[in-house]
Amino acid sequence: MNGLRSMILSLAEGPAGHEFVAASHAPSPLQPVLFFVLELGAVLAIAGMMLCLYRMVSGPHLADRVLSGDTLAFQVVGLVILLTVRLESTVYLDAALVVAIIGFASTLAFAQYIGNLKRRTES
Amino acid sequence: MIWAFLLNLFLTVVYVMLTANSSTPNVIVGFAIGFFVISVYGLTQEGPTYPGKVWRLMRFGAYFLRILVQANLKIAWECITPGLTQTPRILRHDVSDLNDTQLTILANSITLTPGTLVVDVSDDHRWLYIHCMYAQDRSSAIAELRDLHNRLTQEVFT
Amino acid sequence: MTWQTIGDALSIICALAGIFFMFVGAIGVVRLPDAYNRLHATSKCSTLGIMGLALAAVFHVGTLAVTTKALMTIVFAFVAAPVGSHMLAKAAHIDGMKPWDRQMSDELQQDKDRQAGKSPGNAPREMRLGPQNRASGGPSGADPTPRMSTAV
Repeated sequence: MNGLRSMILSLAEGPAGHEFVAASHAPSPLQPVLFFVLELGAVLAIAGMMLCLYRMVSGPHLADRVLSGDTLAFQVVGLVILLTVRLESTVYLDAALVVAIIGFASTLAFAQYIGNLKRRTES
Repeated sequence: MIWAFLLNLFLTVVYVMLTANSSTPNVIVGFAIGFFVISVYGLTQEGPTYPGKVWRLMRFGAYFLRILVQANLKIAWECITPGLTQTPRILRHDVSDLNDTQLTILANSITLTPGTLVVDVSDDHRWLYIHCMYAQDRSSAIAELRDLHNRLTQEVFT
Repeated sequence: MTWQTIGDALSIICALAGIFFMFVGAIGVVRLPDAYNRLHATSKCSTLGIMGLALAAVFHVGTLAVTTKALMTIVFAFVAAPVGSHMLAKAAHIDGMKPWDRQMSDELQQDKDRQAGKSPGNAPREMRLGPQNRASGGPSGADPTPRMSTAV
């Protein structure tokens, strides 16, 4: 778990480092438990993304593929929010909101496409 | 109803901006002042008072959160235990007494309640077509929908 | 026992609930039989999972900026997930997706067929169940038949 923690942090911090991190208060005794829960959540979110990718590859209908993409977007949002809690930073929540909006818009666009598909092939 | 509550939130934002102090106690004070002003204004109007409306809205919110958690636990039980026990149907539900905004709110909350998902709306906005997961008995599934519909009509749309 | 400890305890509870429901949603997308049932899983579980995780962020960090953005994310998830699943279900039905073979009746298809003037097909199970389980309260002769759209 320690190697995973350092890997996640090194991926997440990037060149900006601790510029936006607001760690002014003293850590509480429950903080190690919370960090363990967050790492477990990262692992489970990535496992959920794998499951969504399976459904996206094997979906019998086009709607199955699109809804797995929708779920994938929400899993990414959850992962970004987990990162926010882990780094106590405010800037990552913007990324979460942007991913949610893009996932919603792409779902609507694909739904329009699926709904027009039958009429297009008939004419 | 919703508009009065949104006006209350707007007054809170105006108060916070005017005092230029966005700490949590100041936000609470601003909300309380807005609540008081709208309550006093509401005394001059006919119909139910503003605190009563907010109380009913909060009661509906608690009910809604409860059935949202219940829906998630149902889905979780269905996914985790082996075997599939659903008996799905697509039902038709009469919504001819609602206008478009109320229909949108009803459709969104139907999708988030246990075992129901809105599939389609007829073009004259009269029928809502709902995919029900556990609908072995059609009348009991319709009765659950009717319960949510009545609660929304009585507690939020008044 | 400071406020930070209490906030961390609430944050742990909310994060555990959110993680559990998001993972259950992903399992449901794989396990449930057809697209309508999968949409049940994705709409409900994603909403509550996002809500739990955002509340965990609020309780752990607790500044005003994080609270505002987290509340915006929650409100957006509550609006976006039902609307997206509604659009997808409507599009799948228009495209004529074959439902699960244990689906009992499809009154939307009946109304579409009645609109098109065809005989009611695609509902074999309804016939086998007999008239007492037949749909009641629908558009009968006195009611105007609903006009169904063919576009999203």
